[in-house]
Amino acid sequence: MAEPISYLPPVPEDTGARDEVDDLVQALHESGLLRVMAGGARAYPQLLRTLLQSMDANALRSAIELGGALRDLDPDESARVAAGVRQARADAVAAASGRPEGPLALLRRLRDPDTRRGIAATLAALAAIGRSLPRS
Amino acid sequence: MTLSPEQDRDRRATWAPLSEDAAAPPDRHVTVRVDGRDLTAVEGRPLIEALVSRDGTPGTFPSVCYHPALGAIQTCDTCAVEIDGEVVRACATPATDGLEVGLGGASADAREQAGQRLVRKHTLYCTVCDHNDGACTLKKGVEATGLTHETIGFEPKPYEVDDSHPFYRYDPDQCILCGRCVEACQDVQVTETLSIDWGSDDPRVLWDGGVPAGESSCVSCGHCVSVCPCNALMEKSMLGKHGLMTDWPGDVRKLAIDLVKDVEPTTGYLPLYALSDAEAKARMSVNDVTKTVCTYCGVGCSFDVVTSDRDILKIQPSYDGPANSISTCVKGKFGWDHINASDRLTKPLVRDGQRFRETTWDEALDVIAERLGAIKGEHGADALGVIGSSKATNEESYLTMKLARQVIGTHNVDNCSRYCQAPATQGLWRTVGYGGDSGSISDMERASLVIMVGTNTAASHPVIASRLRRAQKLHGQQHVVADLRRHEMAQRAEIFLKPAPGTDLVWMSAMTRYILDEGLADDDFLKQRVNGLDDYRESLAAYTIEYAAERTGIDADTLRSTARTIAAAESVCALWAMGVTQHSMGSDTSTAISNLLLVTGNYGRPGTGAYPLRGHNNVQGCSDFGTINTFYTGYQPVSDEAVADKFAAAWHIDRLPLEGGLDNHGMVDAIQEGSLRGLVVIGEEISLVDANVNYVQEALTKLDFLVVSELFFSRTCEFADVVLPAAASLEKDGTFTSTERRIQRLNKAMDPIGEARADWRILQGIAERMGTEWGYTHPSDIMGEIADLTPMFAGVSYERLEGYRSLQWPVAEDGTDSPLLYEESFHFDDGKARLYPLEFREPVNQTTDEYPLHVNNGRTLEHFHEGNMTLRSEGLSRIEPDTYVEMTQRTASEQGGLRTGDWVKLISPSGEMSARILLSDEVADGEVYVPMQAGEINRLTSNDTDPDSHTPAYKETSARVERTDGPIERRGGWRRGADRARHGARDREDVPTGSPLPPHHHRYGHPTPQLGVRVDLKWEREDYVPPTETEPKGAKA
Repeated sequence: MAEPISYLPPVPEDTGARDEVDDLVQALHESGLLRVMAGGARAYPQLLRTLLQSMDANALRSAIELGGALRDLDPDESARVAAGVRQARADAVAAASGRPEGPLALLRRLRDPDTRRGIAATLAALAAIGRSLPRS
Repeated sequence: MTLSPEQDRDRRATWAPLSEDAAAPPDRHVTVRVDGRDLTAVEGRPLIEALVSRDGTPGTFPSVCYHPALGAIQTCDTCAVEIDGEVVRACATPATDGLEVGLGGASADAREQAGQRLVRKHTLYCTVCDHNDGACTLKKGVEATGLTHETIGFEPKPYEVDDSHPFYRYDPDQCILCGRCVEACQDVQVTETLSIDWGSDDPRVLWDGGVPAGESSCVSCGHCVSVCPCNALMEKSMLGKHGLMTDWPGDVRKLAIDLVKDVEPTTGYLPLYALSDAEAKARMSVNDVTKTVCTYCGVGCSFDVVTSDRDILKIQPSYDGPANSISTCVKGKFGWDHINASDRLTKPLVRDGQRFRETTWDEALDVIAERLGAIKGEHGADALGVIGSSKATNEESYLTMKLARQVIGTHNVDNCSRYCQAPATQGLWRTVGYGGDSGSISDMERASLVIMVGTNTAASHPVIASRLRRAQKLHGQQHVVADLRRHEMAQRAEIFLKPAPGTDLVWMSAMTRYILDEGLADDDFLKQRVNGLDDYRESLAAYTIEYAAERTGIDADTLRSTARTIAAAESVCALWAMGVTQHSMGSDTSTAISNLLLVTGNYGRPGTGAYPLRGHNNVQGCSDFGTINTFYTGYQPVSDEAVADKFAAAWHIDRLPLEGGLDNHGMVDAIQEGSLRGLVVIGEEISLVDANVNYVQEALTKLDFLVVSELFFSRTCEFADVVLPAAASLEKDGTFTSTERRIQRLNKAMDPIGEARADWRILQGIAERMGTEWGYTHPSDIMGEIADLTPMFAGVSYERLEGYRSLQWPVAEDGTDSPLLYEESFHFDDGKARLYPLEFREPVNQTTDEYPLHVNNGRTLEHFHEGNMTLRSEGLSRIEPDTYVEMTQRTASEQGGLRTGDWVKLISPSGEMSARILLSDEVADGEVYVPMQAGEINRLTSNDTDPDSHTPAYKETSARVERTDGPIERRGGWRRGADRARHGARDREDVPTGSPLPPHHHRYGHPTPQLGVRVDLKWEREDYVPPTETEPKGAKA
């Protein structure tokens, strides 16, 4: 004789996060990354020392400054400059592939307005850089 | 590109069954020439199918709106090709031998232009999109158009996201207006809710012509979401969960999208395609895609379940699904919350005085072995019984009977087909030989005429209903529906018959006699393939049309004209369900259906046959695989000595008894009588679903020992001594057999919750503790043993069931299966069918002055059976929160002026139950309908059964109605703790008030029927020009 009795199942623990961690660890293990990471962790003090010793603060600062300069660029202008650089590369390759031009031929090139515009831009850029260089 | 509306494909002309179709002509391969190279194609199939798979490299030719299940919608224009100097759509071009196709001329620019028009309507932010699974149709399609830079640019639509539906959301800004969803809703599902307002300035998808999706006639079948080629329609369960970065907050996500979009003019789409491909690969390595088979009804829908650990992200049906292809119903597509419900049983329980306590599997199995052993020792093996589950796998059904027969030594083993389908099986055994559907779903599709008797197919077998509606809409199929209720299929039927309750045998026999008398029978078929015509004809003497009209209430002329229509139809299928079988004449009425089919020659040809629609996912397989008191696997009789010897030898025991055991009903009687003392119940809620639960529950208190294996602490568990936590369908491997005798594999998508175990492991554990080592390591081992012992399953193996492959029994040793039975002979020794004489008996429990209402009961679309699974879905419960007592306004007036929402008690001679009133014209005067999901209907039903099958006469119940006074008795209440995860109104509210159906229920919606997506209206728009031209600025379509 079994009289009916009720029962309230406990709320099961949410193992979602743990399952994901298990999955991550498994994936890291299978890919070999876990071994790499473990080695890295064990060698952490040495790696850190090596990293800090090899770091050049000036290079880091320069990269940050250059990054700032890039932010000021107009993408469309950059696109035009980049296209010009690509064309310059192609033309340079073509020019370099033939016989070297003589001095007169080079002078004749100065008649080309695009060439003169390029030299002028280059000289202007060099002047700007020169202004920024230390005087002493 | 030719754009005339006439070129829209003729849906009616191209109609073909969507389910696997053995009668389809074999593919004939032809060669087309594409840019001078030969390409193999299937003759008559759309050319696009060959182009997208050429070189074996998917994605090299665009295909966006085209879907093989939907046909050529022709809305996206991305599949432009050159034929005879013209640019045409490959999807609308049938492949023919020698067809010359060009891809490199004007069509290339047209494809790219079509791609531009798609990204004008849709932002490609694939990397943070939940649809980016590596196979996104839109993304692959746009990529294949050759689009590398946007030329038109995205233009948002002036509409908000529609978030009103419980299961999916629609984002107009991501919608490319391909119309796949519309096509699926209009011409596959045929609920006809969705359309595109091509006449609008800014077209979008509309529900019921322009109401929120969640307030429309949408039945949540999910077709639209499943076929959406992008993320415009998406399952809410996917949002923020599918991708690695899709759960970012909205503002962060927008920043990321804007940044990428700003960069895109420089980078173009190529790096973005690559980036999203890489992300898709990464996300799919942490998501799983597993093919499974639905756990609800017997249609046998198979689909992929996409999971992330235990999270069920979505159900994605496949075109390859043999039963369902792209189709699902609301339960199969969205009703899976029960898997992770917070009240799943996770540990074994043992009764300890007046409480249950959690225990170890070791202790639980020890207690079971000891107690079962003690009862067997003291009272004999037949003092024990095992009840199997029609939800369990075939392999588990086999082990259920093996536990009973080999380990315990009794044939007292049965399953819930006793409650539902045994009469149909009996009717078919009598007349044609096999107790199963005589054909396939594709035969139901092919039929010229379908008779539906006592089946609410749209609610209980929704995908089959959609196939029938589609055949009716596109192929001229006629429907004859006989039912007490004017439900959806009745409303759509060409002929609706409303017989008096329990009189189906009368009108069917009268029609059969009329067909014979009028010379409308298939005489050749009868002469060549059927025995017993003379005796049968003699038995029909009483069934005149006039008598039938008087007894059934169906007009005599209607009976005659219907009989003529059936006789004249080229091919007829008959479908029936519980409205036939759950009567005291269930077996005889099932037989009468088969008799009618025999007289009209409707067996053994495509588009013909008898289809008792099985109600559970594996109610067919449960009996097929031996969980039945009189048969071993494949209906090998226990009384056959040779069969018994075969099983005894295989199981290494001396002998097996030759007398059958007790069925479910007999076991309950035996408990009451004191001869059955111990019971093992595998996942069967017998204390709610057996008839007259007052009697059943009383019996359960008398058992010496009861073991129940369950997902939840069910009502039956309350009576148990040991409760075992069982794995759900997504947590195990195995096979199910659907209504069309189709055996399909389900694969484990996740580990069982907590310490739950698959039933095959549980049964093996019990056997082991009782001294019998089975040693199975996987269900495939069990299937191997079954195949060896069972001629009907001789060729069944897991290898032959890999992926979406399936087998329909009987299966020969070489793997040849049987989609259509009786093509050559019937399953009797002489190969001939048998007409079976019948005599009508009056139904039991007819209405009286004291009990003046006939009580009908059954399922609704959203809920399955007593609701143990579906009420744990918040979305399903939101659509249909409660049961109800549905009656007409007139009946309500006669019962004291009842109104929708009034709480009443229904009182029958067996007991009473409480529910709210729902007024409707779907029922007839004097009859009420009570959905089963509250699990209370069987307080009213009786112990009366069909004498031939012992199936309870659930549908023969009468009651009176009274307004409730004082506290309202409702399920929930003291069970709320145990049923913590249920969302029904009774589970969540003290006393639910108002209408039991919310106003947003789909039955109150207003569909907008049309043929397909109406691309002709798109082509008529002023802003539409062929993709060979540049579209006008500001074009929207």
